[in-house]
Amino acid sequence: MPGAPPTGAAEPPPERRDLAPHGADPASGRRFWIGVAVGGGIMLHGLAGLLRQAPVTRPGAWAGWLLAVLAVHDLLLVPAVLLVGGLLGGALGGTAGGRLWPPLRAALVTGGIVLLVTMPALVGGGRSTDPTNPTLLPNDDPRSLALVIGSIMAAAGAWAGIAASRPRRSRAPRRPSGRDGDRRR
Amino acid sequence: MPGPPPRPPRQGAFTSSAHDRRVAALLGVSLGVTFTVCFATGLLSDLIQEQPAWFTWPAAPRDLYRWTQGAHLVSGVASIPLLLGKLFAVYPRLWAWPPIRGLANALERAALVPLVGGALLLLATGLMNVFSWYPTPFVFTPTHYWTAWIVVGALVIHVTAKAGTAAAALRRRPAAPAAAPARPAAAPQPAVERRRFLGTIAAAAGITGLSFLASAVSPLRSLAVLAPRRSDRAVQGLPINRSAAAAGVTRAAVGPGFRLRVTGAVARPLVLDLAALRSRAVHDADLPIACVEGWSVGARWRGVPLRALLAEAGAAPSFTGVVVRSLQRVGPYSGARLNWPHALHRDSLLALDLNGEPLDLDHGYPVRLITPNQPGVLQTKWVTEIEVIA
Repeated sequence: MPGAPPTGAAEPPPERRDLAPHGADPASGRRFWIGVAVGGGIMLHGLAGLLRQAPVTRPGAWAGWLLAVLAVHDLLLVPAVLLVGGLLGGALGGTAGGRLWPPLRAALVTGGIVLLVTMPALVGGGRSTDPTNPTLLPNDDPRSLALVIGSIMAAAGAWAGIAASRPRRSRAPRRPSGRDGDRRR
Repeated sequence: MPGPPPRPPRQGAFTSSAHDRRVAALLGVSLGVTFTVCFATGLLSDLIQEQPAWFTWPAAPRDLYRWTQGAHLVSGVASIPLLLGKLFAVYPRLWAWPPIRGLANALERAALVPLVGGALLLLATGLMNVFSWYPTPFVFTPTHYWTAWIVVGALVIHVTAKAGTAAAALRRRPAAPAAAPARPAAAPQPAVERRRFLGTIAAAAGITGLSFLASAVSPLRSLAVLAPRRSDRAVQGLPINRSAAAAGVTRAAVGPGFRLRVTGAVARPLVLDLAALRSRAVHDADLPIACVEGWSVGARWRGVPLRALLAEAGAAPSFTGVVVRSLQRVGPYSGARLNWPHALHRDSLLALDLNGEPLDLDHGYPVRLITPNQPGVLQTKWVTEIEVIA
């Protein structure tokens, strides 16, 4: 969700304290070590199977692909989402456009995920797997995708319209309710 | 203004409540459900195809495999937004400093590599398989299977490390700030942000999951962005998984010289040409082709009941199953073993007609197997031999 670019703030504000740092999780104790034994055993079963069928599973290439998808996600996809979200959110936030940002952000994320999931169909690499099969990938995928993303954008537009037509909230400090953030808009 | 973020970014740099523990816990639980469904239905599909001695898959209910494999695909596709959302929620923790705090923490973090990388790889290769796209140097089916075991093992470690934290985050709402927070008046409340983030991920999961199902529902087909096959764009009303050309079967191979043999543990081996097959009593059955790749389409079949041929050949009373062999020479599915419940089911046919017409060559002309509650890959086409196994 491209709502929170790294800002370099020195300390998280008090309401962010549940963003607990990594390492606060108690990864220890009897339950954890039982989990390591059981989970490690299951992993070894999987790894042994992968190695037994090495001519078809190609463990070296498999490990390369595993690390590559991890790197693409952690070092490209998420930073790109944060960057785009930070730039757009910054451009729209704090102005009259601030109310447009949440629906636009939701539409961009939802539409982006739908586009990502549809990529194998759009690329159409499967057609070369069986070029003589007339029933393979029969869909007009660009049209379907345009309809789905158009629907998402229309829903986001309706949300933005409703948000823009609401009266602005009072900026008076609210009473602590004991259930932070449970107050509905 | 503070300076540019340090590298690696500190966790305090991520201020959205999309990154908080409650979000991570809720998405983690959702993924736990979808991955469990995927793993269970995937293992089941493997057992049905591998048929170990201790496992006998029933022939009824007719559509059970259709539903279990549909659940595999829908939960797998819906897992993609859930996993991306979960990884976004915990992204700040990737940059935890110091990166390792003791042996337990090192093990838990090390398990994240096969867990996250394996999960991304499972979903990516599974999705590509739906669209018959195989760009990886490894073969899809065995690699997907063994990767699933590795991911589930890493998931067990992850769950035992995080269960307490997640349960606490789900039980307890975050406490109210002691003082009015110093944030811009326009900034939304954390709970509102959480709901927006979770709502967005849930919407994406719903859209992707339903898009896959929509390909089977005629008024919604135009919205089906995940439609690897469609029953309205088919041959004889049925999509084709592998064409005759791709399977290496030519029209010449199924010409007048074609024979179907019934061999093995039988008193009277049979050798039948197409006319002899067509002269036998036929039976009609409405059965789906339910593909392992998730699509399924129902059809009306007419053919000779397999059990009638077995009786005619005098199959040994104690037979355990039959092996059905194809003319197909290319690909791993040139034959299939049928256990006895399938071999003896009244609707298990050596089909000659599909939806009122003789089979198209791409559907297995002159004769193919069709049985209830079975993966499409075991519905052998271009059948040339049935060997009875004692």
